[in-house]
Amino acid sequence: MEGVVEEDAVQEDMPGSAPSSDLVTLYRNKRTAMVQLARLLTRSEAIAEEVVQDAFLQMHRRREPPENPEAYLRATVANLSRNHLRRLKVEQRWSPRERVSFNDPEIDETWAILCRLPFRQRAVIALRFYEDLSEAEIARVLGCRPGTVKSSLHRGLSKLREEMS
Amino acid sequence: MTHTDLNDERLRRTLKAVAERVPVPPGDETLWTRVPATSSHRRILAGAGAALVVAASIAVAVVYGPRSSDVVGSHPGVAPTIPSSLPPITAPPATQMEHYVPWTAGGSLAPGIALIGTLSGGDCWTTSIADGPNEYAWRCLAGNDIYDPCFAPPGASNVTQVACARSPFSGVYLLNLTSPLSQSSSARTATYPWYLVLSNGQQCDGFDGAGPPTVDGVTLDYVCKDGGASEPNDGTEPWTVQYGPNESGPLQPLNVVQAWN
Repeated sequence: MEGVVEEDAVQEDMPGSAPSSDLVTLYRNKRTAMVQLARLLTRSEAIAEEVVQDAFLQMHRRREPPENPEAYLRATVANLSRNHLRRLKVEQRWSPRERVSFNDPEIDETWAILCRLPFRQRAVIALRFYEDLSEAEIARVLGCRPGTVKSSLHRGLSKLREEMS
Repeated sequence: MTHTDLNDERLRRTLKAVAERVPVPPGDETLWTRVPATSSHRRILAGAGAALVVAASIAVAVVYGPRSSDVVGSHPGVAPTIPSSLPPITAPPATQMEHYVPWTAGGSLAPGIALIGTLSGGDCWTTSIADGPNEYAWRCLAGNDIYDPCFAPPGASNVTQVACARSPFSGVYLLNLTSPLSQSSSARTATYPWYLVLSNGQQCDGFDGAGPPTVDGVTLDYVCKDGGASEPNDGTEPWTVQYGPNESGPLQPLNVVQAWN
């Protein structure tokens, strides 16, 4: 994710200042979709909401609006989701995943396998098959090379097929 | 298995089912405003998904390094003694109330406070959620990581450096801010402390992320090294909490030995 989020581009004004109307519009239009994406990345409905809230706060703190706010937001959500999961590996105090059932064995099984994939492989699959992004777009969201997206997608799908066979 | 072979349609159906299983609760459009962190605020942050969560562990992006229980340091004027086992006592002592101040009056790091490291590019955008009662505690961001609580030197103006602690015993990160804090944290109404030491030796910090777990109808607002604890009942001495060793319970009442804010 290096280079995706410009961490030094923060507002000079104090927190608590009013957000721009563009940001409010983005919040109203995209928050739900971002929470849904974050659910796939974090494997947690509640954590997803927190990730998206922090992503919007980060955008609010920027001095200048990003060129492509939606893409920037998506990248920030992916970044924060990955950071969260990294920390869970260190601090396993409660079970990191919510256990939910969809009353559909196929979905239950597929999601269980997806949850066991490394973050990048699961993220690539989610962005490809849920968000319908191209490999180039996924590369920009995850801050990696398109070739890495391609190989991660291949490995993730291979792992899924392997575990289902 | 297998129910069917993997195909795109199955993947899409699974991802859609997970992402859209339940409606996303309405967002809080006041999130940009500075809101004093209170205990009830912590519950508000938990959001509507709280009841679903038995899994969430910590605030989404709080990082500090080793758990507090790994490092027992010292504190000005305080010699923390963490009980490793419950002593045979007949009249439990009152809960010790401790106020965490990692700074000297001159604005330097207090003696006995270990420095873990120094970070730059920090921004404290709201009052601390983890340590609501402390008027000098902030919730800060450095890079993509949230540090909460971070302590400003009491009474100082134009604060450009805060000390972020994982626990009262863990040492601190010094966080250099991109711009000074313009004011001390606003008046607080929160009453519950940041950090608890329980009579079984567990150390627990306030859950400041979404969806604290619930066991037997009791919300475990504190995350301990092993398990979780409810907000303390401060109507008795010593204070008590409901403690659960894991998400399955069972809950048991425990005394609070120390309460830090």
